[in-house]
Amino acid sequence: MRRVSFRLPAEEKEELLDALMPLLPGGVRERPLEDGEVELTTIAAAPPARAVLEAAVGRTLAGWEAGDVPADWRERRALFGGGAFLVAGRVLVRSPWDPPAAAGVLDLVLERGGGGFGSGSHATTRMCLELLVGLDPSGAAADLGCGLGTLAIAAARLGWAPVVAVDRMDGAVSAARANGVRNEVEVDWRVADLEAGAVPLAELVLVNAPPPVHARVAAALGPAAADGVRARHVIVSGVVPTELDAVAEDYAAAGWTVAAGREEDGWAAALLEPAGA
Amino acid sequence: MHEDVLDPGRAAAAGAALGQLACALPEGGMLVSASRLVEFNVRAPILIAPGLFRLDLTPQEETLGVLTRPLCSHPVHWRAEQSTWDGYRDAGAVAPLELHALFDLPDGPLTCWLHILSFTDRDAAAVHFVAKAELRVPQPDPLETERDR
Repeated sequence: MRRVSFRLPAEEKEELLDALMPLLPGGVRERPLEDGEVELTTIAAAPPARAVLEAAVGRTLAGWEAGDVPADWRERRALFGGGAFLVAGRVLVRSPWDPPAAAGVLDLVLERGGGGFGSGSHATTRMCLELLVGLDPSGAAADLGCGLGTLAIAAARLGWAPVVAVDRMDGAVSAARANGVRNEVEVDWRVADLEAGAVPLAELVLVNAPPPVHARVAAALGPAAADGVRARHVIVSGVVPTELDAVAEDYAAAGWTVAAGREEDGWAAALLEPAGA
Repeated sequence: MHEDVLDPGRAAAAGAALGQLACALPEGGMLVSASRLVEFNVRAPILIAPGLFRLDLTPQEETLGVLTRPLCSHPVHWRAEQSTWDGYRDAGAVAPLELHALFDLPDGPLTCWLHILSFTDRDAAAVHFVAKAELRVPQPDPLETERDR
């Protein structure tokens, strides 16, 4: 297999891709660079010649590099990455086949399985992590709708303890438990339906879940909360911006207010704190 | 204009490197059909309707990036069939993601019904896509035509 990479000015990228894409059936990986350019990489058994691509765009392609690479994607991942997500410069969420995090960056290794959600490739997971790393760890954490366990594992690695994580999908919890072992954290993994059963609470509550789950969690966090746990932070996501208003109203009725918000790729996340805190 | 964008020869040539096929539909219009195996996190051109749009897909582990890149300056309105949005993530179901478009061309409107089937192969870290676009000149509703008389 051959790997070819070159750079395009970011502001002209789409127009130039109109000429290049019909010639690149294997597609391109895009990597924004700091100087206003985008690095494009294509991998194919026989990629088009440089002259063909340059003729298509009518210009010299800057930063041209070409070389042989392994056919096996795991070997390529180990060399070049491509399946990892760096969050706020502090947390790297990656597959077991991506290169490890740089020194000083929290390295979370997640493997998908069991139909679970939350490998870090989705904006809601990344936004929750951004909000999570901004908090000082102080107490217990509950990840409600944990999927593959990314947020619970991150919380545990950041110093929150004890950590409980709940999902209604047995397969997801099995995958999350394996990810917990992989990341050497202690988490109480549970299979439960949060729309019907008890809602575990903690000083930090993470809810990356659909609106009906938020309604249940908000009700549990209200003045009538009976288990004596005083939650201090709630990180919510799993909703689009138009849904966040209604979800925030549920939490507002329970005495919580939005302290910080995020939007990315059409999804929303928020950090909630007790009103008047 | 309609004649150009509904020309199967032009569509087949535009997507030759993608291996796409194009043919006239028996009741009018054109069908463009293509398939591709795309690795996670790669943005790949799947299908080209020259003079109208190019379909690029970017599969990730739990989301699918869908871009219908316009290849014309005429107004176009795309909408996704909401009931099909979860098709990509649901490994247990084989249901196409469906999008509908209305192109406002100088010689009249043109509709597009785009459907995309996907099969994720996690061992290969890649997704198989099958996509087809049915392009048609919308026919007047016979009931409305009768009422107009």
